[in-house]
Amino acid sequence: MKIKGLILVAFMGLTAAHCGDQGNNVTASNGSGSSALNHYTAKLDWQSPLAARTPVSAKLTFLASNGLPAQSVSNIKFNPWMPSMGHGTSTADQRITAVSGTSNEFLVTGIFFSMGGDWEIQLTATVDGTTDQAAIAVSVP
Amino acid sequence: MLKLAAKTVAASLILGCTLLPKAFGCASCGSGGDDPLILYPNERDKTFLALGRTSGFRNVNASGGLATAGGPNERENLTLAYGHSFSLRSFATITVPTFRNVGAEDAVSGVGDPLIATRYTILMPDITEPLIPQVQLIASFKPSQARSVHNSKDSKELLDIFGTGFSDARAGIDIWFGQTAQKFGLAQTITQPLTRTYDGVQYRPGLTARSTATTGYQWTSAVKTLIGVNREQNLGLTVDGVHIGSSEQLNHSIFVTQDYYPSVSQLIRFTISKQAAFGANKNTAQSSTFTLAFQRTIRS
Ligand SMILES: [Cu+2]
Repeated sequence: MKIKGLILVAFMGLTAAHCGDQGNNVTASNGSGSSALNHYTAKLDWQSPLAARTPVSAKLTFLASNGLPAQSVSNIKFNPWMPSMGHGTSTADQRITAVSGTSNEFLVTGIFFSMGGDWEIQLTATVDGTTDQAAIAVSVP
Repeated sequence: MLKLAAKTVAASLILGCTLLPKAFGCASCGSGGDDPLILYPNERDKTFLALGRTSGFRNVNASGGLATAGGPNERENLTLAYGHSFSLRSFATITVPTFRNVGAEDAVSGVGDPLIATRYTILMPDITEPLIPQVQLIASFKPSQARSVHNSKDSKELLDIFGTGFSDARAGIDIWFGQTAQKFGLAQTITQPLTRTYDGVQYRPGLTARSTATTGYQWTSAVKTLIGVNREQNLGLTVDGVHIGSSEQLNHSIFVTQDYYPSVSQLIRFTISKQAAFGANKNTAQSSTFTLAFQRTIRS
């Protein structure tokens, strides 16, 4: 009887959570991703409230596989991509600059998400001498 | 035998008279989507013109959350269609949509993807048997010619997008109980978009299944109201042979149609529809459309 009641409550909870999904706005969050060959982890921290259809900036931090700041990072490619629809966006205004006094932090400005939804940043970088790719999921409101 | 002959004569008389719009119709033709023009058995040719306005765009993400839409704030459309019947049971239509995408600062106009559709009636309605529905088979092809999100030249504002970017072939069935004042119908279509390569990347959109349930009421011989729901489900996108997880689409839409026949050869139709209107929706867009359509029949 008790179990039956619990199942019922759980079911009602699930149903309510599901109903609540509809009409909820997407909330933006910072994210990180490990590279395919596990040579590095990249971390994204949005510098301003993340929004669609307006230029936004992010701090990009590279950590080596041992979790310590990467010693050298070069050849960064930063490509926003919307997997569910199979399209990217304009990267014409994007600029990547190193944060002075660091070996592993970069500021990416002029990132333009042409719409809200589930995006990923497809990243390529040479970290401590090895080129590897990573993807960071981004929920754009 | 005599009874059967009398029945046949009665049915033929009905086919030729003004009761036709009452008996015929379809479950999927009030949806404001594609396949907007339907020919009844005694109609040889038919022209169609529709003016529509879509607004309130919101993206819906994979978990059903709402997000900012890309592209226009408002989309106006002018759609032209022409239909020709080949027999009592079959007809074909060609539909050409044109659009004007209105953004925050400017607007871009263009032609959408044309649609060639045919219907074949496998079961004709019988005036003496109101419980026997009209059953039609649907086949259509939409060649992709308009710009899409995959080859937009306006990758920020996305105002030059007028199509999906993929040709598609569709097949389906439409069941319509239209003989009494109270009407009811069900339609089911399956659409397969064709694989296409953009910038060296191969895209293969999955199969789309669309179900429509419609009900309505014939108030007078000149006035009819229809209300219906659509469920459209897509199996998601495959890029370079890899299926993209969480790219499946789901959209539940609703439509209300008000028909007015100023004469037996003319129809004025108002349709209000809302995409992603109820239930679970994912990887789709929410919007509201208002359409005013005119149809003119040339009888044989
Ligand atoms: Cu998109």
